[in-house]
Amino acid sequence: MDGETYHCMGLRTKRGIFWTLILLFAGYSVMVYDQGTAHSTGEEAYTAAADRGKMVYHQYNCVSCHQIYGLGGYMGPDLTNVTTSKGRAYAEAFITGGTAKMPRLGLDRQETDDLLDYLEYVGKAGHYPVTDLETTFYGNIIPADGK
Amino acid sequence: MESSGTNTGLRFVLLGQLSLWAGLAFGVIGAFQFLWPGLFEWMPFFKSRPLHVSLVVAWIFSTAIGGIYHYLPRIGVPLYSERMATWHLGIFIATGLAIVGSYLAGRFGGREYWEFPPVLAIPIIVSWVMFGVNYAATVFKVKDWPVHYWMWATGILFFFITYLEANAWMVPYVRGNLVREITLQWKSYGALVGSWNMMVYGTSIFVMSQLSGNEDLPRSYTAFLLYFLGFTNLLFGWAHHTYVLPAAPWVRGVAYAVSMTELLVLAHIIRNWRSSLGVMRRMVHHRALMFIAAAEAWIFINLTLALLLSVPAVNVYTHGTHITVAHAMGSTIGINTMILLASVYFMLCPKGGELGKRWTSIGFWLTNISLLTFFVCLVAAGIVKGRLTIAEQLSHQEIMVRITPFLIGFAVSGVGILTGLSLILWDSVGRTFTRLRSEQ
Ligand code: HEC
Ligand code: HEM
Repeated sequence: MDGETYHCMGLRTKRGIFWTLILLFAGYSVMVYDQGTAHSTGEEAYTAAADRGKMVYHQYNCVSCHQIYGLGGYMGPDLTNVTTSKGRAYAEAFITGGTAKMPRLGLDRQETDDLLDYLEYVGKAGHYPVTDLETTFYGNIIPADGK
Repeated sequence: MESSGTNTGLRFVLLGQLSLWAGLAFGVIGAFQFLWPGLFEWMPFFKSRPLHVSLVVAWIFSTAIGGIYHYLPRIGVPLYSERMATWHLGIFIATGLAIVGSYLAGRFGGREYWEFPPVLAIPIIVSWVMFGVNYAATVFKVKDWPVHYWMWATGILFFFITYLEANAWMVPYVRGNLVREITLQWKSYGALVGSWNMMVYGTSIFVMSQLSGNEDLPRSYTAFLLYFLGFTNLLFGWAHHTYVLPAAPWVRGVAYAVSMTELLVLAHIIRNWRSSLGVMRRMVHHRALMFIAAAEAWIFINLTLALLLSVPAVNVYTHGTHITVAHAMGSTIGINTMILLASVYFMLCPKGGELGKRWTSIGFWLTNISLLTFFVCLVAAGIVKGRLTIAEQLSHQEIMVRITPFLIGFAVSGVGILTGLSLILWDSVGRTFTRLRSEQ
């Protein structure tokens, strides 16, 4: 950008590009909201209790230390499949008892049950980490279940 | 620059600097809690982390907003309403205090990065509407905008989009489907980061064009091409955070393809490296330039890392590890913070002059060298964790033991960043106070 003369883009071109991008974004968003994410297994596990459990997960800020699908804070382990692979009782022991590294957060019985229902619902939707996959020559991935 | 307009902009900037200082302290506390989880019983990690993240994000937004309010009237574009700007500041402070208070009291309710009780979304939206209206009414008087006006407008607009999507989980259609809910959450973060990046990069272009005295620079073809490229990535690149989710495969494909267009930016930086250094050398000598030069180097480093992470086959290993933290803080400190410090110094001393204080230079170098160590430690911790998780499938506890040496390096270099930035802030906050007092 050292040159002394600058070529400028016309105002109409700029506006045209801007609004085209916005329209494409709107269309793409609708596709993502709808078909792109339509399929989620285990939706029947999303009960009223699981719904309350989600709020418990928010209220005690579990996300500051834990991840779901690798998203969240990194002090504690990922919880995506904790109940489905290690069991409900296992998870419950951590939540009610705490450990040297995880604080005892003092949830009551109802909150604990709801939270566990939520975690079970999360666990039924898929698997993380994805260890069973194929890689294409251009660097994309194809998980074994085809997604 | 003419001196007109009130000093609401400067007050935002003062608030930003104070938030940064406080946010840094919580970051350091959080880092040491990885090593000693019991450290500071009164400030557990589930409080220190959101306090850290919210306060440093407040630094970014507050300082970028302050710059816009400050600069426009001084280049002959008076604000549509100074009073509205003052109200914006008032609501910003009140909401900020409420958020900090709710974290300290352990009252949460929102999701990651917005962990405060959801009602606080209302004042945030209200003040942002005021900002948007004020900005629009101010700059619509100007015909053919330079690129930074476009970028600021985009940043403001996308804050609304991120905010709507970030709260979409409240709708049953979204929260009854985990894949949809998490995808939307990350879509909203794409818009969030895009929003502040647009505001910050716009500020950088503005400062550079003022320092070089070249008003054509932000109207050039290249400037607009880069802007539209960045915008495209903001709109369509976000799903590189959710490759691992069982969503439709094309969601992944689109994000991968779009993310790779950033290679053009990388190529552009490499090609223009010498000439942009040349441009800088010919400019008025100013402390702001030092920060801009640092930001350029960090753009190069972070973009290279981001491109690698956007390759799905690499991402499966790096996702959910400290590499993500390296990417997040490498860019928010190396790029955004450096640019905003340049803006702060430019605002405080538009003509340059006596800025050569020794301690601030020491602070500058200490920050950048510490940041490099910090970054390398996090990347190393991430690589080890990724390998142990996927290839060896070790447990979380075993992995944490193996990455402890890197986490020690991370915490110690974090103290270096805190010290370095404190040396700079000591100077810049002092100057901001002096300036505010003299303008009263
Ligand atoms: C301050 C950080 C922190 C918070 C907050 C926290 N945890 Fe933990 N959690 C941990 C750590 C660290 C471990 C690993 C335990 C260990 O190594 O002793 C853990 C372990 C667990 C485990 C066992 C996982 C496994 O695979 O072994 C479950 C389940 C769990 N936590 C659930 C929760 C839930 C639910 C919440 C919110 C109500 C929560 N945690 C809040 C830090 C935290
Ligand atoms: C200008 C300065 C800084 C900025 C802008 C900043 C920004 C951020 C951001 C955006 C995150 C969220 C990252 C994510 O979710 O992946 C984060 C997390 C974090 N930061 Fe900082 N940061 C700064 C300085 C520091 C310093 C000096 C330390 C001290 C070592 C620190 C420690 C942490 C810790 C411990 C986390 C949480 C990581 C986790 O959850 O595993 N930060 N920071």
